[in-house]
Amino acid sequence: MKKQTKSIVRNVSVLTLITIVAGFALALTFNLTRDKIAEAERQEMLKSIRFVLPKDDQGNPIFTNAPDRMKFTMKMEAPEGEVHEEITFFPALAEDGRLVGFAVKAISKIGYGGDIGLMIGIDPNGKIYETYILSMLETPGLGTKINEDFKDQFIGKSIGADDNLILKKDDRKKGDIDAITGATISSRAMTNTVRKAINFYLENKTEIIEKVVEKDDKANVSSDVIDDTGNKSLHIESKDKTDTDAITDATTEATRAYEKKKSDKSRNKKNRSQHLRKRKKERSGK
Amino acid sequence: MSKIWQEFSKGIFKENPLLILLLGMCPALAVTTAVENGIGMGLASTFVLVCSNIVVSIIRGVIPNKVRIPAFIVVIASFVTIVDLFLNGYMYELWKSLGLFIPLIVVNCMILGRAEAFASRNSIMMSFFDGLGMGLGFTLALVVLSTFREILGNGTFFGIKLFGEGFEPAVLMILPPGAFITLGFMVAGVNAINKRREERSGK
Amino acid sequence: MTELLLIIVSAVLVNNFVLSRFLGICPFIGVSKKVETATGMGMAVIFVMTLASMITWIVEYYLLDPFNLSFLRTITFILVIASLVQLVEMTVQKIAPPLYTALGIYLPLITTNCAILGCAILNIQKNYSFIEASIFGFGSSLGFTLAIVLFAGIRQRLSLYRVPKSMEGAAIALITAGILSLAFLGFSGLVK
Repeated sequence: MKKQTKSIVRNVSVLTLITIVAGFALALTFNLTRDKIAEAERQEMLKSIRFVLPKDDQGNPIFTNAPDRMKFTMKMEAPEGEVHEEITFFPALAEDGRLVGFAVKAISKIGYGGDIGLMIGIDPNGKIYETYILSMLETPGLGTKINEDFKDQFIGKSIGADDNLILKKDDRKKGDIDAITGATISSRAMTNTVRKAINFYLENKTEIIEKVVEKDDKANVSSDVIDDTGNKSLHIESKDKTDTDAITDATTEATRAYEKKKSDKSRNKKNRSQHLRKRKKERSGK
Repeated sequence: MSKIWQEFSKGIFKENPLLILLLGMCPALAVTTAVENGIGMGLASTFVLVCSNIVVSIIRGVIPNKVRIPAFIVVIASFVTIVDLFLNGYMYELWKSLGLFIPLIVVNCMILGRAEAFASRNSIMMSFFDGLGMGLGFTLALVVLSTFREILGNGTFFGIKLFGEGFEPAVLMILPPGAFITLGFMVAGVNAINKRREERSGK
Repeated sequence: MTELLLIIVSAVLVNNFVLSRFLGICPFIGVSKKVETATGMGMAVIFVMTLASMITWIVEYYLLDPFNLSFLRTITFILVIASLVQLVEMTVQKIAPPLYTALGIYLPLITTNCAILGCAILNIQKNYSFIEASIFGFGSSLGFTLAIVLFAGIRQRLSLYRVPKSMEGAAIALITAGILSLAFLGFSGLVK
C-alpha cells in the first residue's frame, strides 16, 4: 500500500514538474514573440488597406494617417431572424486632413465554401477604388477566381442612378457584373456584399463622417504609413460636420488620382497583352 | 560513425515515416496543395521532432513508466506551441497557409512514435540523428507529394507559373480526392521499389 | 433550431472530417478493415469527441481566455483530451467490461486522433457558443463514423479481390478513400 502511494506521488510530482517547466518556457516564448505577432497582424491589415486605397505616382498611399487606429465598427440591420452583420470603417486622411476615403471591411456570409472577407476601398461618395479579398474558402480554381479578373469589374463602380452593382444574370436590365462561369454563388456572394456595404455607407454617411471627426484627436501617425516627407500633422480641415466642400475637394483630388491609376492600369494591361503575344510568337516560332 | 549515418538515413528511405510507416498522413494530405506549404510543414515538424527527441532522451532516466506518454505529450506540445508562436510572428504568410495543422503537429503520430520507440531508449546524439533523419524523410515525402499536386492542380511550382495561359489545371488534384489518390500511388510506388529491391537481393 | 441542424448536416456531409478536412486519417486507414471494429471505433469517437468539445470549450472561455493564456491552448487541450480518454477507459472498464474488451486498444489510440484536437480547436476558431460547439463535436464525430464505416464496408469487400502486389494495404485504401472523397464532394453547396 505504501509502495503504491509512493509511486503515485512520484508520478504526479514528476509530471507536475515537467508541466511547470514547460509552462515557463512557453510563457517566455510568448512574451518574446507577442509584439512581433501583433505587428505581423497589423501589417497584414495595413497591406489590404493600402491596396484598396489610391496611391500616388510612386505607388505610395495618398493617405498619411493610421487608418487601423481610427477604425470603428457598426452593425448592419438585418431582417428578422438573421444575424446583424458587422461592417468596419478605416478612414483614410491625406496630409492636410482631407478625407481621402475609407477602407471598408465586410464579411460575406453567403460564400460557397464559407465566409468571404472583403476589404473595399471607397471614396467619400461611395465610389469604389479597389477591392481586396482578405479570406475565402471557395473552390480552388473556380470560386477562387473572384480574386482575379472578376474583382477588377468593381473598380470605379458606385451605387447611384445606375445601381449596376448586380450580377448581369440576376438583373438583365441594370446588372453590370459578369459572374464567373461555374462559380455563380461565389460571384454573387462578393457582388451582393459589396453592394450591401456601399448601400450602408451611403445611407449612414453623415453618421460615419461624424465618427471620423470624433476620432480626429485620437489619431496618430506611424512611420510605416507615411511617405518620405515625414508629415505628422493630422487634423481634419473643418470641424463643421456637414462641410460638403472639404468632402468635394477630397473627392475631386482622389478621383483625379484614381482616374490616373485606371489609365495606368489599362496601359499596363495593354503592355502585358502585347508582351504575352510576343512571347507566344517566340514560342511558336521555336 | 557509420552507426550515426545508419540512424540518420533510415528515416529517409527505408523507414520513411510517411510512405513506409504511414505516420503523419493528416498534415501530409491537408497542406500539400503547394510545395511551399509542404516544405514549411515538413521543416516545422522536423524541428519539433528533433527537439522533443533530444529532451525525451535527456529525461528518459527519470520519467516513471506510467506517466511517460503524458510527459512526452507535454514536451511535444510545448515545442509545437513555440513553433506556432514563432511562425505567427516571423513568417505570417506561411502561418496563415498552414493554419489549423500547426497545432495538430502535436498529434502527428510520427513524433510521439519516435519519442516512444527510440528517444526514450537511446542516447541524446542518436536520438538527434534519428529525429533529423525521420523529419527530413517526412519533408522529402511532403515535397514530392506537393510537387505533383501543385504542378498538376495549379500549373505552378513554388508559386511560379509553369504553363501558358491556355493550361487548364486539373483542379481535382488540389482538392481532397487528389490528395488521397496521389498519396496512394506514391505508397504503391515505394512498395513496388522495395519489393524489387528485395527480390534482387534475395536472388 | 435550423442553425443547429445545418451545423450537423454540414459537419457530416459537406465538410466531412475525414474526407474533406483530413482529420482522423490514421485511425481511418488503420481501423477500417472490418465493419465491426470500425463501428466500435466510431462509437468511441462519438462519445469522446462530443465530451471533449464541451470540456475544451469551457476550459478556453473560463480559464484560458479570461487570463490571456490562449497561447497555452494546444498544450491544455491535448492534456484535457488525454485525461478524458484515460477517464473514459477506466469508466467503461468498470461499467461495461464487455464493451471495454470489444474496443480494446482503440480507446487509448483516440488520444492521438487528430480529429479530436482538431475539432476542439475549430470550435474556438469558429467562435461557436457552447451549444453550437457541442453540436459540432457530435456532428463531426458522426461524420467520422459514417466515413469509417462506409470505408470498412468497401475494404471488406475489396479484400476478397486480387489487387496488384504493390497496391496491397494502405495504397489501395488511400485510392479508395480518394474515390469516396470524390463522391462526398457532390454534397458541397448543400448548405448555403
